[in-house]
This record gives sequence, C-alpha cells and structure tokens, in this order.
Amino acid sequence: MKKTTRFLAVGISAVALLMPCVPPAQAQTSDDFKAMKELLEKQGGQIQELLKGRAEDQQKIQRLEQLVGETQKKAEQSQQTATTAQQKAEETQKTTADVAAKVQTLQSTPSEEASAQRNFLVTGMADFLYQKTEGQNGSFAQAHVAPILLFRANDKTLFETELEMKVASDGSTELGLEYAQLDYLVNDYLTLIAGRFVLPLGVVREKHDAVWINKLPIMPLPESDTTALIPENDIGVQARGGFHLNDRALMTYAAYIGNGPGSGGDGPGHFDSTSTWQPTSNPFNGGSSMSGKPNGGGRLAIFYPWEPNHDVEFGVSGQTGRGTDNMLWSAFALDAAVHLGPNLECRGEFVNTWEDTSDVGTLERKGWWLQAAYKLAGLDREWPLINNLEAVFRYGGESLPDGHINQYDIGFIYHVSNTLLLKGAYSILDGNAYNADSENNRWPNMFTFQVAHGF
Amino acid sequence: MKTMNRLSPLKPRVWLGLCLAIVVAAIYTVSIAFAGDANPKTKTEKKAVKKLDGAQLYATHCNRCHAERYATERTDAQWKTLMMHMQTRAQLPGQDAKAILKYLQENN
Repeated sequence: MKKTTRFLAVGISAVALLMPCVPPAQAQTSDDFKAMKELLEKQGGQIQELLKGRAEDQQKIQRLEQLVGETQKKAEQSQQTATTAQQKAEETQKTTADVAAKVQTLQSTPSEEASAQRNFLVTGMADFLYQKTEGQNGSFAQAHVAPILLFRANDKTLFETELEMKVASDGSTELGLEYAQLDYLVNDYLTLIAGRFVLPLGVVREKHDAVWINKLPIMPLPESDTTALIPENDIGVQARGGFHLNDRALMTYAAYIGNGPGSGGDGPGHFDSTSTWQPTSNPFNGGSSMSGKPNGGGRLAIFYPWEPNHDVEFGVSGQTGRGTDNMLWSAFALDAAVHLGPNLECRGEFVNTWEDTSDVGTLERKGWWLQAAYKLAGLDREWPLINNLEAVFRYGGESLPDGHINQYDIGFIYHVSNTLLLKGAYSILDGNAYNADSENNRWPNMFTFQVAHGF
Repeated sequence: MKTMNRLSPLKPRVWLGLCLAIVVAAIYTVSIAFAGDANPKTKTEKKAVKKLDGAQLYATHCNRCHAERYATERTDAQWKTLMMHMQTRAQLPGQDAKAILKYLQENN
C-alpha cells in the first residue's frame, strides 16, 4: 500500500505542479474552435467559389472546344472549297489558253478580203430629175446613172473610171466616159495619173460635180451644159498631191499636160464676122489633139482648218494651149470656200477665159458664182423635218462677148440620209446674151426637182 | 485680118504657160525632196505635222466636199480602195489618208 500511495501522491503532485503550465483547457479550446471554425468556414467558402469557378471554366472550355471544333470543321470545308475553286480556276485557265490559242490562230489567218492585195469596188451615183421651164411643159428630164469602178491592183496602183449613162431628151440612151485613169501613188505627196481625167480647172468639176455633192439640182453657170466656159476633162498625164505647210495648213497642187480643147460638146459659141452664130468653138470633152501641140495647166490651193468643220480654202488654176483650128485658148480661175461650223458653208468661183478666133479676134468670157448653204439643224428647233433641211442660195453670172447672163437660184435639200438627197431649186434668169436654146433669145426661169443618190 | 497688135494678148499667155511649167517642175522637185528621205518620220516632218488623230482628220477632210460617209458602210478592204481614190481626188497627204483609213477600219 505504501507504494501505491506513494505513486498516487507523486502523480497528484505532478499534476499539481504541471497544472499551471497547462492553460485552462476549456478557455483555449473555445477560441481556437471558433477561429478554426471561422477559418474552415472561410476556406469552405473559398473552396465553394473555386469549385464554382472551376465549373464555369469547364463550361467555357467545353464551349471553346465546341467552337474550335466548328471552326476546324469550317476550315476544312473552306479548304475543300478552295481546293475545288483552284481546280476550277486551273480548268478555266486551260480553257482560256485554248481559246486564246484558237483566236491567235484566227488572227494570224486574216479573211481573204482583208488580206488580198487586189480589190474591186463599184461605187457611183444616180439621179432623177423633173424640170419645168417657163413657157414650156414640165417633164421628167433625166434619169442618170454614173457607176464608178475602182480597181486596186496593189497599195500604190489604182485604176478608176466613171461611166455616165442617161436618157436623152428624145428617149435614146447616152453613154459617156467621165474619166478613165490610172493612178500611181508614188509617195505620200505625189500621185501620177495617166488617161482621161477631170481637169483641175476651177473646183466644181473635180469636187462638186457629183449629183449627191452638188447642193442644187443645177450646175453653176460656168460649168452648166449650155453656158459652160471651161472644159470638163482631157486626155493626158497629171501630177497631183498635197503636203502640210504647218500643223494645220495644207497645200494641194495639180499640174497636167493634155491634148487640149476638143471640138465636141456644148458651150458658148460666138458670132463670127458675118454675125452668124457659131454654135461651138469651145473646149469640151477633150478628145484627140486638135493642134498637135500639148496644152498645160494646173491648180494650187491652200486649205486651212482651224478646227473640224471650221476651215477656209483658196485655189488658183489655169490652162493654156492651142485647140480648135490651132487657136490659142486659155483660162484662169479663182475659187474659195469657207465652213463656219457644221451647218454653214459658203463657196464661190471666178473664171476668165480667152479664146483666139480666126475672124473676130480674141474672145474674152467671164463667169462667176457665189453660193451659201445653211443646214436648219443649226437653229436647234424641235420642229418636224427641220433637222434634215438645208437652205441654199446661189448667184451666178457671165459676161460674154455678145451680152451677159445673171442667174439667181433659191433652193433646198432634204437629206433623207447622208447619200440620198431630195433637191429643189427655183432659178431666176435674165440676160441679153445669145441663147441658142431659146427661140426669142430669152433666158426663162425654171423649177427643178431632183432625187440624187450616191452609192 | 489679124495683126500682131491684136495678137499681143498672146504674150501674157505665153508667160502664163512658162510660169505653169516652172511651177510644175518646182512642185515635182519639192515632192521628191519631201519623199526622198529614207526615214519617213524625220524631226522636220514631226514638227510640220501635228498629230491629229484619225477621227479629227476624218471630220476635217471628209466634210469639206460631201456629207460624211459612215465607217460602217464599207469593209476594211473597200475602205482601203476608197481611200486611195480619195487621196488622189482630195489631194490628201499620205499620212493623213492612212490615219483616216485606220479610223474607218477600226470603226466599221
């Protein structure tokens, strides 16, 4: 018993001694537990938040993975589309190359017509005329066809000819040759001509004689059939061309040698020393040389356009030589033209001729004409038909050894198309020169209507 | 009866004939000088000729005498033949005629 007691006593003493070293258990546990509880609660909340955030993140990751999947799928589809497009592009490229090759083949093989050195072309003009002369019955006066045949042998050689076929007043058919010439284009500035050619004497014969170009249905006095002062054509050789004097001005020239005045055709005659009318001693329709001596002539002109449809031209021409009966015949002509816009044109000509005769000396004849034409489209009106109408006025005159003639023409053109024209003119004539076509030596007024076509 | 006095007007015409002959010779000489250059596009020619295009030359020259002919009226070969005719008749310089031809062929 004593040991036991002793152990008990030691134990109790130990506990008693250690008691002060041990905090009061109840007080410490309560605070710690509280703190731990708070800590645990706090950590629990954080863990909840983390878990919640993790769940959200996982959802986001799922969505992103889904998007990635879709994008990848689209990319694969795009890739496939691109591959298909590339294949198609390659096929198209190949097709284009094939077509280009075929086109190239076609281009390198031009059509027969375009590449042919030779070419034959028929062009020309035709007209139909009605005329009513004062004191006479009106009639359809003329059906006239003038085909122009152009044959291009190569780039330098052209043969051209104009035939004239018309119905004469007695119903018979007349056939004429206006010109038949061979043109050789030596270079850009010189063309040589041989054959029968229209004379570059004045400007009407060469450039305004065609029925679809002449602005009235009748010719100016110096070139008209019954009152003409200068010949229409001759047989010979000619050199002609044009070259620029500066950036605008153009000089044109023509020089020729021919047989000279013929003895056929109409034109102004004269009264001989016995006062007998000699119907013709005039230079028309040049045929064989009447004198065996060549005649010469030419024309020089300057053309100055300051802009399209605004231009002026001056020309001087002449011819001299021996013709009928070996008599000298000479001519001098001045011509001028001006365009003031696309609607207004003025032009004119003066001709002077000298003809030696065996009995009455030198016969001097003068002729002139002045013409103005205005397209009514320039009025800028909305009236019907007006835009196709052109008003024309021409004054002409002649001073002859046996008197004078004056002619005033008031006319119009209706442009059905650029080459189909309806022309009308009322001509007032007066004069005392001899009129071989009139019984009482009058120059009667007349109305002329013409349908003219250039083709 | 003719006398020398009445024939005196012949003298001016003789002079006229001589002048025409001199003019013909001068023109021919000048034309050869113009065309004799082996290089058709010398500086002198470039200075002398402002390069109006085919459409402007067409409007300038083709309306001088007649109403315009539309490019669609003819084929290339026909225009080539017609322009040779017009170069001769209208006395166009060759380069102008070629420019007009090109314009017509491109627009037919």
